[in-house]
Amino acid sequence: MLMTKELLPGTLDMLILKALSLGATHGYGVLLRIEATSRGLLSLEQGSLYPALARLQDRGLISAEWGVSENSRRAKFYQLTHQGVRRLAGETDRWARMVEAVSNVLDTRPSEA
Amino acid sequence: MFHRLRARLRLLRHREDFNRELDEEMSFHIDRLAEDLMRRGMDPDAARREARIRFGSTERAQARTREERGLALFDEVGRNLRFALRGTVRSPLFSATSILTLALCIGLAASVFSVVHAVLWQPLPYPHPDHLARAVLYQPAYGRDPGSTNLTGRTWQRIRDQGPFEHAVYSDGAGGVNLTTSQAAAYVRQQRVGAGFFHVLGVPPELGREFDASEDVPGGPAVAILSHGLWTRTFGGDPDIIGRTIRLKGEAYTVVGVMPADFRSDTKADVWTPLRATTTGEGGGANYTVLVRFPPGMTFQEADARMSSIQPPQSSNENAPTLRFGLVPLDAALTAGLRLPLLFLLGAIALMLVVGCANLAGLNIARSLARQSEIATRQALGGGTGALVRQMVTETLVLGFLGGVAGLGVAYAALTGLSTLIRTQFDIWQAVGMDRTALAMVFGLTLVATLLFGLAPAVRVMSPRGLRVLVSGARGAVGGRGHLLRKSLLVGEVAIVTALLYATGLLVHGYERLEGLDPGFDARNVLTVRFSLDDARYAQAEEVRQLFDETLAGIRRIPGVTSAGAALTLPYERGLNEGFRLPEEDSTAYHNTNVVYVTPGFFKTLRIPVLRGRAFDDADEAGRQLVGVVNQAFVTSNLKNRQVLGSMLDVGSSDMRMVGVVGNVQQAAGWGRAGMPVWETPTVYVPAAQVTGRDFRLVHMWFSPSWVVRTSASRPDLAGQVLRVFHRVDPDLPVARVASLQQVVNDAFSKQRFVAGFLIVVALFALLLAGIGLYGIVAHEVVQRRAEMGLRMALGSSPGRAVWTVGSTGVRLTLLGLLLGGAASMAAARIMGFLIYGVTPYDPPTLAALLGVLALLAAVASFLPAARVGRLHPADILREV
Repeated sequence: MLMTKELLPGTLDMLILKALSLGATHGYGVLLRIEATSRGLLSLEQGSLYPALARLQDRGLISAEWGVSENSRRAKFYQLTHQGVRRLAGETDRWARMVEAVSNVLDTRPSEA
Repeated sequence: MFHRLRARLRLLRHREDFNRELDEEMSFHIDRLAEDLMRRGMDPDAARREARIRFGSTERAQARTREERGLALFDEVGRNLRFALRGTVRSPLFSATSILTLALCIGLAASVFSVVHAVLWQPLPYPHPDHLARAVLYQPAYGRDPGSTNLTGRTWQRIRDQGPFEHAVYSDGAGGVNLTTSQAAAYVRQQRVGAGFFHVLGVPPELGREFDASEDVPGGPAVAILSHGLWTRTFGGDPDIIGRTIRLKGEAYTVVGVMPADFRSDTKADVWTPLRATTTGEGGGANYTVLVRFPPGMTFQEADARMSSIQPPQSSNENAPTLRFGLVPLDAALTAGLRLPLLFLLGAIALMLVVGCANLAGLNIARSLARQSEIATRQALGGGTGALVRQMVTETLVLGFLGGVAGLGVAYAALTGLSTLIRTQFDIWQAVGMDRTALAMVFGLTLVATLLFGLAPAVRVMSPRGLRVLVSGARGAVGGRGHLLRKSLLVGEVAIVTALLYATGLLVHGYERLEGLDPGFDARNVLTVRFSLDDARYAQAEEVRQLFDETLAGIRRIPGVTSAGAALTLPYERGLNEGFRLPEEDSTAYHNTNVVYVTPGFFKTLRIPVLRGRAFDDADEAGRQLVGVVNQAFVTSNLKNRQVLGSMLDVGSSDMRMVGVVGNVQQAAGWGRAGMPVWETPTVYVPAAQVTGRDFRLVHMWFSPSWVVRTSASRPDLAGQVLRVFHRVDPDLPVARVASLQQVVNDAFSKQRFVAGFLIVVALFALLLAGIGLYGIVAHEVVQRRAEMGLRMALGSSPGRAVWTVGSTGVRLTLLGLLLGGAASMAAARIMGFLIYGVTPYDPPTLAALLGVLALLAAVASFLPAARVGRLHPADILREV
């Protein structure tokens, strides 16, 4: 299981954007989505979620609105802005290329070098 | 970018809401987590505990969230502000000095600049003022003088007949006249203008119309235009005033117009009447001014070239200089006399500003030097460079803000005082308001000086080498470049102050010399009263003479009055210019002189000595042989080696016999000796009894005569008694001025006194600033060299010697500044010598005074702090080391 601190810098932001791309939800919802979609491999330090949400909001990638949760309590709902959608696409590309590059290097066998 | 800034500012306003919402959001999270845990079978208490543990510290999460939203920075600003305010209170001497310097510099510089800007550089209050000009006829060899643009009637006719532009002829001064209403008689200022004057200026009357050509001819109807002020003041703003008659100068005038409230012509006037220009009488001399408006789109140079195409008048004299027509921009003509004194004031204040900025810089260098070890310590303990710089900037800004607020107060107070003062000295028409640009610029300048010099040493400490400060000993601060910079600044300050003091000294000395001139009469216990005789009731010579006789007889009966007389003009005032020629000269040869009519008692009342021959007596009447008395200056300049008494002289086309020579008096003259405020002007005195009605009418249009009354002792109630005499003789004659003769003399120098006084104040401020700077440097030296001096004294050096060693730093710096400043002073003085009468560049008494003042400054500012060294106990010092 990977802990938050082991993530590469910037990865948490990308994960949050991805989680929100599935639809608007509150902070706890974001957490559940990431844990579920990572198939239990990622466990986030829950408090660290909020500074990240604030950072994304400050950059205009997500917006927030107070609404009512599934159990009828007031909760803050976050959703992607247009800018956030674009950023997620860019980050996803970048991530894919990086994974490919790093995998290529790591998969090298002695005869190929 | 803007989105973030806006969002942050919004958050800042609602930070309480933000914090509350953050709490709510996080507790929602924890509750939901606990619920999920319970659903999986945990008991409620354990679930809540587990949820809190998994969430981690809410405090930390909240703090980091606030940081992400930029609120942390604002928290820091608030902390820095509190810190800076505490620091301001904790070092009161530094703070007070900074704030005082800032306040003085900002306040004085902004107010003086505002006044100068308003007076010299503000556009005239007429439409398209840059297309207004005055016509001049000048000698190309000498160039044109913006201050003298008067023309004769014949010259005006050439412009009228051949001139290419819209123009109007007028009289550029206002004369005092009597306005009689059913309630009272008032002395008002009348300006005479030709038809089209207001049209050329571009300002139509508020009510009615301006004069037309049929009214502006000799013998035309008596019509008048009122100023808005006179209309409301005296006529209650009567809307039906047009067409009504008013009693002006003893005659009925029909009001044809009222000018708007904010209008003023180029002089202060209450009422305008038609000029009725001619080529004889008034028009025979250069008494007219021609206003020109050249068409839009034309440059001044083009207009001037067009103007010069007018054929100049031909002189019968072959040796007469060639003349040329041209233009002088109206604003330059109107500010001609103001430019020099105001630029002097501006220059002085600019120098003071430089000294002030240097002082602020020096103060801040000293402060950050003193704080180097604090900064180094904080840095060593992990304080971020950015945070440290932010804190120092905040401190500077707090001081800057306090100084700025104080400066704003000083600026407005100084502006009010200065504009009031300047209005009493100079005839300015401009509204003087605070120039916000100037205020902002001066404020910015002082702030930059503070920031730049305050931060530089601090930033250097932050370099990796900065830690050496800690190693070099926590108590002392390192000197190095910061200190050298500060000393150079001080040398510069002293140099500027030296130049400023010397220039001021020269002006003051020149002014004293003027005031110390032998007036040529005795001004003590003489009262003067003035009345306008530009009045239909005094159009005949007999009527004027009767007024003189009856009033003087009445005045002489007042107890305590020893003698009384009357004269067209008084000493120290400008006299009437008149042409004269000697008997053997042909009729074209006319020279200029001053002519003053006087009654027999005049010389006796003023105690002007009769050197030869006699003064006038009652036998010098109309119809008898015309006589004249000349002064010694007239004899010296015109009648050398001639028989004076008994010879004839042609003055203004009347032959008169010279019967006496009197002593000179100081007089202001409209011609000759340019720039000299007063001099012993050649003058011809004629008896009032022999002046013709025509001449009385002419001269009374320009001058209001004065009565002079001598008493045996000072009599404060005299004025009232004298005015009662006039009221008995002519109740409709309003008094124009009551003043002691001494006041008349003082008024002659009021401009010089104003400029000199202003410069003294500015120079003293600059001196004070430099003194503060010097004190600071020596005080710093004392702290730095305490240990060294203690050791020296322990080893047998005397305290006096130690004090001298430390204090002489200040003396050396002053000397260096003095040398630099001395060179600058000499250059400045040479220029001033050209510009101002009575200033000699090399002036030993001024020089001696300057050296004395600077020596005193150096001594006080150096040895006051240095004396502390002498009181040190070597034993204490040794224990500290």
